[in-house]
Amino acid sequence: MTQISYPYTLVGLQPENVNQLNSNLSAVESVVNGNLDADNLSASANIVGSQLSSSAGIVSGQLADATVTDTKLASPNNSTRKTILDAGGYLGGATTGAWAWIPTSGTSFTISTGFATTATPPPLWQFVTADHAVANKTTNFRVDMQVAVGSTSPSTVVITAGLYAVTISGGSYVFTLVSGSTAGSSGLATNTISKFSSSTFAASALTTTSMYTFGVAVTSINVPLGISANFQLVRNNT
Amino acid sequence: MTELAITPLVAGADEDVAEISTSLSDIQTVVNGGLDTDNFTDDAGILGSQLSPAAGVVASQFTGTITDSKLASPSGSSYTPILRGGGATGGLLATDSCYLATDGTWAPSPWATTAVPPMLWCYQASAYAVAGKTANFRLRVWLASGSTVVSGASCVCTLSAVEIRGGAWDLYGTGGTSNPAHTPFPAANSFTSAIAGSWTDTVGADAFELVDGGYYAIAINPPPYGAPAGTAVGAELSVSYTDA
Repeated sequence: MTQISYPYTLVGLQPENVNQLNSNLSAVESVVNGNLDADNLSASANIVGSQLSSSAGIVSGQLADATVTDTKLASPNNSTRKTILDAGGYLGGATTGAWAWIPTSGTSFTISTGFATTATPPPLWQFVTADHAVANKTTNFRVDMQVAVGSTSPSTVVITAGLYAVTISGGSYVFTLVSGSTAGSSGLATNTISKFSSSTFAASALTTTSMYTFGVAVTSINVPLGISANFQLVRNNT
Repeated sequence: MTELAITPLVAGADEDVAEISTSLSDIQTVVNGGLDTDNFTDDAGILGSQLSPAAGVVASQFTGTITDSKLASPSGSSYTPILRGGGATGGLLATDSCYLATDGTWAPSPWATTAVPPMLWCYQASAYAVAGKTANFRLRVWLASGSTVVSGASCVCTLSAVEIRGGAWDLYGTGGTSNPAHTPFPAANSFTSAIAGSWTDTVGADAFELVDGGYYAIAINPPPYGAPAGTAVGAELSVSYTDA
């Protein structure tokens, strides 16, 4: 530290020694004129950014680890949604109340509450918590659905997509709806494509290392011909 | 610099006290808010703790680079899927090296190009490169067993280079295969999973190197006596990024 150290100690009631006073003042001068450093500042100096040079030359090592939050980034991307799982297929002919499972091929639906493991499996996704976690953020998921309708009137058909946990029992895949993951259609019209989304649901609704896939519930009326749907499971971290 | 310029006092002069007062006043003026950068040494070493907690430092004052380690919430560390699929494996023979086809079946290799093709992925290095980062690729495999009790059977799952030879899709081209893992089938009526292979885009760092522009598919080798009835295998290729 560059500290002011007086070369002379002036004593009261002694004859004036201007040279000693000059030396002491000069000591102040030499420190203030370009020799101050951090130790001359109090630990709580509270210097603000505008007091630093506009090109201060702050380098990475002067930036503490894990301190730059998304709000400081010009282009944070944690909040954008990334597609984690997608599938789609033809839904025409599905009957009221049936669950439609989308085989991996995406070419047709198998209507069942479960089907044998000897068949083509659904598009399975294994959720592993650590694979989707971002520090200091909550991992969120959402199910998106696009429904295409041909020239046959869909009437009042309602198609509700959801994410389903998949287990195996008695040699068959078994499906259990994940709470909060459903996206229901409404107002379907002929010769249209419409999109629907579930509410955002937290990763805590899922079980790590468990398997998941899409499923569809058909309500109100059988699905007319010419209707197909596509699904995406999307993730963001907020 | 707000320079402190003290006029030397002259012994015996009548105005000495006034000059002392002037000098002290000059010091007061400089120290009480008149200091600037030139008053400090070039290596002053001012600490972050001496800055205001709400200093409002702006980007132009920062000349470094912000790596993931500086971020409170680095996004690169989470995995993003690239290629995924699976299919039933029951009945596949030990001699069958199979690729995952676009219809969700495992097709024995070689397989005519007139039939269902593999679910191809083309690796383009520039598409996955991020400055200052290492791309970490990983193949996670899942296996399912139906009601048939599977004892000791395992399946090898890899990411394998795909080529066309003699009018047929062929696995294990010049691009090679990712490090394989013999993953056992689980107990009856259950799933299991494992990391079947992982590697980076750093040249020379891994036994398996992706070839820029190469074509790849998820591939399996069934167990020596064939895959048991009711089994299924799938895999997901994904990527994450860490500071290089």
